[in-house]
Amino acid sequence: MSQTARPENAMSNTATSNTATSNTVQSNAIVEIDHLSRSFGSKKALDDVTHSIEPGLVFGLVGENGAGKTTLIKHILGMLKATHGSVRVFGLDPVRDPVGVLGRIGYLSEDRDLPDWMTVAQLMRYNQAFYPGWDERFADQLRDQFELDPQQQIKRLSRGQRARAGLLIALAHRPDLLILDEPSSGLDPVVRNDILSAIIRSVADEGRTVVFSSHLLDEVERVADHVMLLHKGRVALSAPLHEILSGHRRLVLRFEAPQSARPELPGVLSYQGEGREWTVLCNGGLEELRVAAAHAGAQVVEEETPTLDEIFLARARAPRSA
Amino acid sequence: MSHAPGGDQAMNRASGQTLRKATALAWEFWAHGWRGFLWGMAGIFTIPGLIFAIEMGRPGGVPRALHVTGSLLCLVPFYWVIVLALGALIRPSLENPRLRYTLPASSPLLVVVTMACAMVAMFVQYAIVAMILNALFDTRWTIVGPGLLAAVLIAWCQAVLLSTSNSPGLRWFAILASVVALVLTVARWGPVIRPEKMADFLPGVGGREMLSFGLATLACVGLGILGFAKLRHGSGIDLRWIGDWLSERLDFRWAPRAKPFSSARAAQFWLECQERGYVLPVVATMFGTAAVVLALCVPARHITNGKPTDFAVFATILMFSALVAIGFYWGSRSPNLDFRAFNGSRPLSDGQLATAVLKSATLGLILSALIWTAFMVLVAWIVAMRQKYSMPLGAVNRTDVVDYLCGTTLGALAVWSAVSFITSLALGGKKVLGVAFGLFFGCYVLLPSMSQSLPYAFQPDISAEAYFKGCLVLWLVLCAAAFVAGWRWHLISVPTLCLAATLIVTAVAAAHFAGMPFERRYWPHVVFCCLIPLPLAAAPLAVCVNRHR
Repeated sequence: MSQTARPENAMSNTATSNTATSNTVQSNAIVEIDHLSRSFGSKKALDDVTHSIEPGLVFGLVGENGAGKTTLIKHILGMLKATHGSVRVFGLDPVRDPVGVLGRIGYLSEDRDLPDWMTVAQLMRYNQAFYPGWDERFADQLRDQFELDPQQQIKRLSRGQRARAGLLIALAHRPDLLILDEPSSGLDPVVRNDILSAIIRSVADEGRTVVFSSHLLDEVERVADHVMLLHKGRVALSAPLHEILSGHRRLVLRFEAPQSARPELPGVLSYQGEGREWTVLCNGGLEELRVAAAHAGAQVVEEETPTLDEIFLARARAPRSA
Repeated sequence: MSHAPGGDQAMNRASGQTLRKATALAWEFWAHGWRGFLWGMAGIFTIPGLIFAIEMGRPGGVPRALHVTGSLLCLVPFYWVIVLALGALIRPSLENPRLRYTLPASSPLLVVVTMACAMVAMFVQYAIVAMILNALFDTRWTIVGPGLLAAVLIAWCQAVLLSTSNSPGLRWFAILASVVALVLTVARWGPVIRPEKMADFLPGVGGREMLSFGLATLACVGLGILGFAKLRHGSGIDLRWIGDWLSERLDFRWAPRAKPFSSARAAQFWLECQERGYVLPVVATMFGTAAVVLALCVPARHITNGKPTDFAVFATILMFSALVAIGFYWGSRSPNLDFRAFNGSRPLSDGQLATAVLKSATLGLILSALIWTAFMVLVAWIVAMRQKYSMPLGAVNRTDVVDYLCGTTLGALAVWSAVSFITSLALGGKKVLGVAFGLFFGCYVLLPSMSQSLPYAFQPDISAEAYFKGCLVLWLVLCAAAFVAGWRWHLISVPTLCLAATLIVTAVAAAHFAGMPFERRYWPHVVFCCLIPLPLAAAPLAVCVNRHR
């Protein structure tokens, strides 16, 4: 299956409509998270997270292992009760009103939790009963597209097939909110591409909202409109993707004299190199950095837009920025 | 074999490595299972604790309760219940043999070490239980003989589990065949059900017994190693070919396409029945079949010296003891008792999820009761025929029929309530189970005994009967609180309250017509009847606690 490019019109639409910031809660948002904190024993899984997710967005949730991504998703689904702060989905409390919330959500869990004993056909028939919007023709179409044998038991499916089966039941009822927890984890490139195609189609065609968490930042970069980076339970970065990419630069600096230690320059998130040539990744403040570099006897020889992967690594390792 | 110094060093190194591996395997066994062993042994005492607590409510107080409990525990059948329960506790530490397939260790080492640890664990657990029961209730259980038998039994169970880890169907067949073979073997020693004293059960362990145990253990080791090795290298017995063979020969195209479910609740009820609800009826069928086989094969003189119905009663008592485990299984959503992603994300309310579980459990109980009754009637008839025993029915009058029907109704409601309540506790997860177990054990078993052992000046001025009635009232208050909380949190609805009221009225009426009229002295029975609908509130509350942590 060929890769499909992210439709530009959808990106521009979401860019202009995405006015949510990390510090405001919008009333028309699909998901509203307000000062959410959660601890498990002494470990703080989420620390004062506030955000809202607008309809029609592809929202990428990234972070290292243990950053709090799955914990946040579970709060949205109501599987964890908000002990500090609040979570509202479609204006409802997912704990008090699981039917109203979960009936409009399609969810693919990280561990592909499906009943092993069911066949694919039984799984579809069972899920059809829960969702009034279940589109049987669309479900059959997805099943054929994902090449799933309806009589095959779930426990006999391969990992990739299991992911496809989970995605099928998440998509078939055309949910208003699609939540994918590590959808590409452990999958081969062919299956991964299928998932991305499904995400892009669902957003572009019907304007649905997608929230997905991932370690594969190249995929996030390809499909997401808005990215939130979680680091140790806190929001380290949250902005539209194009703003993140345009707001960070990777510069190659050449010094007149070899530097024995890392040159201290303002606004730099990460350093790499030794001697005369150093590669730095900075967040804004380009002019200030150029002036400081010039004072330090350095010259900018190369300037590029970093990848999301590089930005994520730099942010995760750097002290939390204001 | 080389006798060169290098050869000796290599042998020493190899034996050192083997010892290290064996130590690591033994550590894994104990590290994985020590909590279960301790909790399990504590849980074993809920059986005598229950008996003791019930007897405490009768006139006679503690001495009488101790005597009655001790008398019941002296019966051999109780030993088998203990063995089953302890064996079940060791099972989790023997799970997942696949984790060991890729360890750089030989199959004999992997099997022998864990089997030895399991046998030691079983013997030690039985010995501790027996010593405590002997000290508390003067039951005079022998320790070495039955302990060794229990250890050999667990070795056999492990061998069966290791050899059938790829096929649940094969595993069930092997377990059933083992039970039948065991009973046939034990029947050669004497009557299986005759109320022998435990002091006479394997009282001495001589040379013949040790040889038998040794040979049996070797057989277990051999089977375990053979089965484990075959599965490890992908050549174990696989029964999937039966399903494939059948589907090739039978044409299912004529089967009508399955209709969509009428509602989400219907779909969830179907899932519960398919996933867990079928277990008890299938278990009842399998064990009923085994009971029929035993009734046909066990020598007539060894069946029982009492009535033919004794065999059926004993088998039924064994099934009742399994209801606790069944209720627990019905309520557990995962090995960790938590709601995983699929179950937790169903667009159903907590009350609807709980109702689906309770409905499935009720259907399972009804079906299995019918199946079990049919089998036990057959078993009693077979035994009666073999022993040429005539069972005069006598004149059956209306009062007897009414008594029987009312008693059966009340008993059925009580069983449903108990099993469903256990299911509700399991639905609540580990914390709820822990709190409930602690409360129960503390209130019903430890507190009365502890208060009696206090110095006289500190003993509370409460009789055993008053304590028992006080606990009943407390349970009634908790039951009412559960319904109030469920109503306020929108977990239960008007139809549920109507059902609860109907159950109470039915139970009270059944108790009344079964000989417990509305008199003051029978008020505990009325309270018991009012407790019957407790699962209708407990289950939704448990789901709410567990699902939204």
